[in-house]
Amino acid sequence: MLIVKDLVCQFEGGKTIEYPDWQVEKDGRALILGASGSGKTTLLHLLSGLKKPGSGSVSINDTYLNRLSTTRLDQFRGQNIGLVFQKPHLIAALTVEENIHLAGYLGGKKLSNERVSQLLESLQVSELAQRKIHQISQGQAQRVAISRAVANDPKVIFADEPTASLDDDSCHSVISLLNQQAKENGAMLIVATHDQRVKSEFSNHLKL
Amino acid sequence: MNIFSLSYKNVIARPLNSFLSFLLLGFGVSIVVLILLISSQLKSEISKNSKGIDLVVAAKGSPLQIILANIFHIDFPTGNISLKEASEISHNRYIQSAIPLSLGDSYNGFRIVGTTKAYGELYDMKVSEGAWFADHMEAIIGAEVARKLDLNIGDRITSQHGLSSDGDGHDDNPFVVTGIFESNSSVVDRLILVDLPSVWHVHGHEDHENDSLVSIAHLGIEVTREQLEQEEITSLLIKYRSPMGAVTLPRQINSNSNFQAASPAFETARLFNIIGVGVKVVNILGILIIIISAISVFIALLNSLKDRKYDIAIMRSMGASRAKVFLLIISEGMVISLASALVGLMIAHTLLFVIGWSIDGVDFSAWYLMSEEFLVLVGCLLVGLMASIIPAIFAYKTDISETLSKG
Ligand SMILES: Nc1ncnc2c1ncn2[C@@H]1O[C@H](COP(=O)(O)OP(=O)(O)O)[C@@H](O)[C@H]1O
Ligand SMILES: [Mg+2]
Repeated sequence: MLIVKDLVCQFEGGKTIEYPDWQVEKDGRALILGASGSGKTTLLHLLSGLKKPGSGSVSINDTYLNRLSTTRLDQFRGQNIGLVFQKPHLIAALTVEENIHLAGYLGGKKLSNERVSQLLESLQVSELAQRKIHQISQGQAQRVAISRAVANDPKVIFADEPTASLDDDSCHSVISLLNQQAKENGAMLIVATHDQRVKSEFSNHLKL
Repeated sequence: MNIFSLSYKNVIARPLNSFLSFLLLGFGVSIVVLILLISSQLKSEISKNSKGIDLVVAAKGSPLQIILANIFHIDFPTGNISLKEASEISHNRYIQSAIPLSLGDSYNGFRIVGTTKAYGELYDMKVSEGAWFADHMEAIIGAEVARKLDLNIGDRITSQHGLSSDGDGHDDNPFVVTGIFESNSSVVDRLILVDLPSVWHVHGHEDHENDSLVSIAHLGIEVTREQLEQEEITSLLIKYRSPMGAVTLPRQINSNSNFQAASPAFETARLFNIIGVGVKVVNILGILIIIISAISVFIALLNSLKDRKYDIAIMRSMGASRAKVFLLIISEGMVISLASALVGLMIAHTLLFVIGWSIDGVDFSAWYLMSEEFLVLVGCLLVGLMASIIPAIFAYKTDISETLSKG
């Protein structure tokens, strides 16, 4: 269960963004909609503890993020939250497979080789396991980024404009992959987007 | 996957970025270590070979040359001194023992030394095959001579006049090899020892077999009266009876005779002072290069960090703590400096091996690690640490949210 209450973001220059109160069920699917610059990315950063709010609270499964120390927050994020960004941003020094293992290492869960190959298989990129990042396409990289986000069995998956740079087919398949992964892991899925193509696939909408 | 494999992979993925640091640090380390190895091995070589010799008495000339020729057998002798005068000097009450040497001949580049058994005892030589020379025209040879020239007991060798291998041969007067020493890395490994009368004999001075022999007990030899009057030797290696000898004997010898007294301790100290300046300069150069390499490691890390700000933010978003990304950058600096230091050490030892192998008469043990080398290694890790601290702090302070929203 995700609960947002009285959340206000305060930027250094003095600019503030106020967010409406909002709730998402434990295995819910939700969409954050809004035009570019409306505060979607900022909200996702607040929800995942990458950014501290000016005031208000975010709680995920009864854990209040603002009550955690920086180190505990990093740990909580590694174990409970999977993030997918607009660009895949895989670590270029590592292979596809090593990128997945890295998520396990950083999240404090050592992943077995079977788990990694099963993940890559379910996202149909297993034949790329040994490739370097510059040897795969953008669409393939986005799939790898999704496997990386779900590697540690997160309770919540946040995706920030995952379809923005994709054509209709890829857009649809990325959304269904995210849905499928969330379902398999029993996780909550929250997607921030200004992409109208995605709208119909979700019922819980937050308009910014 | 752990922090070391991750940092190793990060360094390997940008070979050009860290190549300059690697080159500089490796170069600096190999210079410093090479100098360290050479000077320590020279010192131990010198002290080993001049052990038990307090004073060398030879013909007038440069004291350093006397030491080099008569102890290390690398320079040319200063000339000869008369046996009679030498035997008179050896009676001096400050002298405990005196070993006569007669130099000047060689065989295929190895020096022939006319002397007594006392010379072998000075270096604790052990006979590995055969026996000491018992008679004239017999020779006992060092292990390296035997190995390099493939000589065995019973082989004949013809001495050549002079110390280079192209001297005139004394063809009609061959020596018979009667013994081979065990190797003990002293200068004797490269020498051919014979008795004194043999040296005189090959130079065409007749023996008079029937003449009665007089014994010169102080030098441990027996010679005919005629030989005592006419023959010459090159030097005496002297050991004092008491420390008082050091005070009076050199002055006495230098003022009263045609002789020159040279102290190995004094001359080698002088030699080291001269070499020491050069060693210092090269060492400073090496350390300077290491410092420059530290700056280069610093720049390389900072530079790679600029490209990898996003990587760091992503790793934080996957649960890495600030301490972990700090350690990651530190360990990247360590990986660069450790790798270059190890390569530098290897280069230094290989160079030492090549030097020892290519220069005759230098016998370095190249594959031996000195404790100072571990200090150099630790020093390099410190250099890596110092150079990576500031980049690591930048990584530590990365604002995840801001970095990610700029991506
Ligand atoms: N560091 C910052 N300082 C001040 N304002 C910022 C900062 N980061 C983002 N903003 C502003 O906050 C608003 C929301 O940004 P963002 O969350 O990236 O929007 P979206 O993801 O919906 O496009 C924008 O108007 C942007 O200009
Ligand atoms: Mg955005």
